[in-house]
Amino acid sequence: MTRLNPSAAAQDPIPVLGLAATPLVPESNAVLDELVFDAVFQALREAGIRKHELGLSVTASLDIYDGRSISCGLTNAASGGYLAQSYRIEGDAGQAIIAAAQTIAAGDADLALAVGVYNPEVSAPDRRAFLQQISNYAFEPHFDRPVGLSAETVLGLHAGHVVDSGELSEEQLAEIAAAAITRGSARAHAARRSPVSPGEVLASAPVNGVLRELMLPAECTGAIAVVLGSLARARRALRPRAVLTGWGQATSDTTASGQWLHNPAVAARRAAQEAYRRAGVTEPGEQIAAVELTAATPALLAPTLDALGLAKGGVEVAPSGGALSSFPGVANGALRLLEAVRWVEERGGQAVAHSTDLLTGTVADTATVLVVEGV
Amino acid sequence: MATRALIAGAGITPATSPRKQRSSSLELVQEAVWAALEHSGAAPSSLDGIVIGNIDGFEGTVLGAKHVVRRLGLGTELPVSILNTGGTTGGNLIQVAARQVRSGDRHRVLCVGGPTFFGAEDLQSAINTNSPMVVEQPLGMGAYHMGAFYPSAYAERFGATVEDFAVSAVQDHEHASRNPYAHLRNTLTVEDVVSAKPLSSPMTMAMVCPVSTSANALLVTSESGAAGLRPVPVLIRAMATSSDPYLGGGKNDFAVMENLAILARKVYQLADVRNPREEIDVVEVFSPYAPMQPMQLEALGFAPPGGGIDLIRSGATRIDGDLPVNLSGGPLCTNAGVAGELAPYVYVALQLMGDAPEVMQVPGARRGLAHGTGGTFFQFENLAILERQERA
Repeated sequence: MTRLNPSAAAQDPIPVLGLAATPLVPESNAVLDELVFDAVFQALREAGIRKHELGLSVTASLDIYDGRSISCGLTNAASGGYLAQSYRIEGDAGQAIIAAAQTIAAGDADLALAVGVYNPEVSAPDRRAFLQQISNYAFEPHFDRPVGLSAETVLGLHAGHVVDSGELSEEQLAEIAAAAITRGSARAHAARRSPVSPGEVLASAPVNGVLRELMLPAECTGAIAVVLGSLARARRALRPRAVLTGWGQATSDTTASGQWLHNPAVAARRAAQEAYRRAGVTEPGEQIAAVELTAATPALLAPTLDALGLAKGGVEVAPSGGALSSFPGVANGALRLLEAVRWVEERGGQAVAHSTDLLTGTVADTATVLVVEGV
Repeated sequence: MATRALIAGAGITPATSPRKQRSSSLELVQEAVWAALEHSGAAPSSLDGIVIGNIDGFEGTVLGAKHVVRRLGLGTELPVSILNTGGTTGGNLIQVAARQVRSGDRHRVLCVGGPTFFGAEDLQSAINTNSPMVVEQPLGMGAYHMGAFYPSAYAERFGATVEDFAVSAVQDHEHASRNPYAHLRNTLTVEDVVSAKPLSSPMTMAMVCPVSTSANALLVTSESGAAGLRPVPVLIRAMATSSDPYLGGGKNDFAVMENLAILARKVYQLADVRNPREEIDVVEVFSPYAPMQPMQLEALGFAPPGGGIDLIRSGATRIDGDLPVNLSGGPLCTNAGVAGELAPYVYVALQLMGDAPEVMQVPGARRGLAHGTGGTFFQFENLAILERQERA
């Protein structure tokens, strides 16, 4: 008996039937399709679903990270795409989860899978330079690239702006980062596994402007898969873990408008509005109990919370430590959902998972917001 | 609330080679997008989503769509989804846009296919990086080498000759000569095709697609979103994708396009098509290599195994035949990457709306088939049945 009884306010409740991650490690020895297979196999087994039952599988990955063109050709069969419907989104896994949910809501499938995989070809210590080079290539080519913009540059400029304008001091940024890392350090998927003090954050390697290494996302690699089902099909599933009641997706503007500096969570705001409308959430500060968010720096925490409508109220913020504890690249959207689902499994109520692609920092980022409730 | 998805606008730019192209990739996309909006009559402010394709590695950017979409004059707030599935990217834009609409999340989503081939100097080398790493990559295998597996096996099975494979090239060029948007508009004889430079046996240069630049766009709408728009709307009656394994060995039989045949059966079931030869009025298949076309026609149920070449020779697939195929000239005459992959859907939609260029319009076309394929050894397929929806 699944006990599924989703909120009547939700427009199209979509149960989460399986949700699994590979170990999230600094560098995985497995190749892409092995990672995808591992996560998908676990998620399907948890759901009690066989691959051929899937109506669609959507992969989130990026060729340029994967070091090969059309990398989804390699991973497709592992994702459940053999002789079946599938495609790949180049972006964060949150987008893949939404595409899977939309397919079920459209009546085009009863079971759909989304998987995000991230294991950049280049190893440490060169990986950081590799990622920033890729980031630079994703900026506008005539003006942004030549001046060396990259995700870290943009995030550093924003954090510097926050400090210069007096909103937060460097010490306060360090306190926020230390709290997040420490909170997440004992969690299963943490990449930073030791508690840290604000002093240690400030003493970590300078990256860009006021930003230190421990103020940036905790890079790790792996794959995370999510199995979604229609409400009708889910009633015969093994053990639905939560219900996805709302989803939203939005994209911010490019560099010239300055949104990335003055309104850096604008995409999150629009995505949240869509998601809350679908979920029937009218007072997020009162109705949402926890949020797993993706604040790429401590300076982005407040604007992101505000954009999600969760700055006020008793919401528990990033209980897992968020991106500063563990950030598996384009698989991040699925990790945030996993952590939000765990929260509602333990506590009940409703939680929000927010993610965004950080390829170009807060420039032209596509944010996703998912609302889940306990079963 | 779930709804149906329709196509209610299309825009396309003329194609040429990258060397002769005078517009930037951004300008081409702008031209296609605004042509689609003008064709549809939709105001830019009425759009609520963009789905666009990039094939990084072939292009000179990483996810260049991130900045391109904000330079189209469509505002700064449209949510953007970026796809990349190689040669099926263009066709898969429709899959994603249609589901955004069918789920009730969006009402007017623009699918945008840009010119892809502006970054790589050697496309075969870029394509080689998606090949299996143990044998194919070190051997330098590129797309047309993979494409040649099919006619080699087909020739072995059915006794087809190079002259036989040339017939679809001759027909595609004849069709393209009437298409004002096509890149290669010269006509060819069988002898021209056979005597062209050998590339990968049994294919000659004339059987292989050109590298083109152009752009196109399609407006996908909900039923309410189509209201008030100018063209006769085209219903996306059925659509799906299907995939083979990554390794060529997983194909089982290169003489038969098994994956496409399986997909066709699925899509025909969804569309309630029982006799495709009689029930479909116009076809655009993605056959960048001429020998693929007869094999695709067989897999789609238009001809028996080994009968695709005879079908083309019969004249049935010409504009005055009962099953016009690739009246655009297909990717054999224009292949601009993502735009080339979206093109079958654009051309079929225009045919069903009655808005194709007059010299290539099929009179009274009501139901059409659009197809895409790509990936390693053409492992990915997408397919849709589109239908003209008469206004009440």
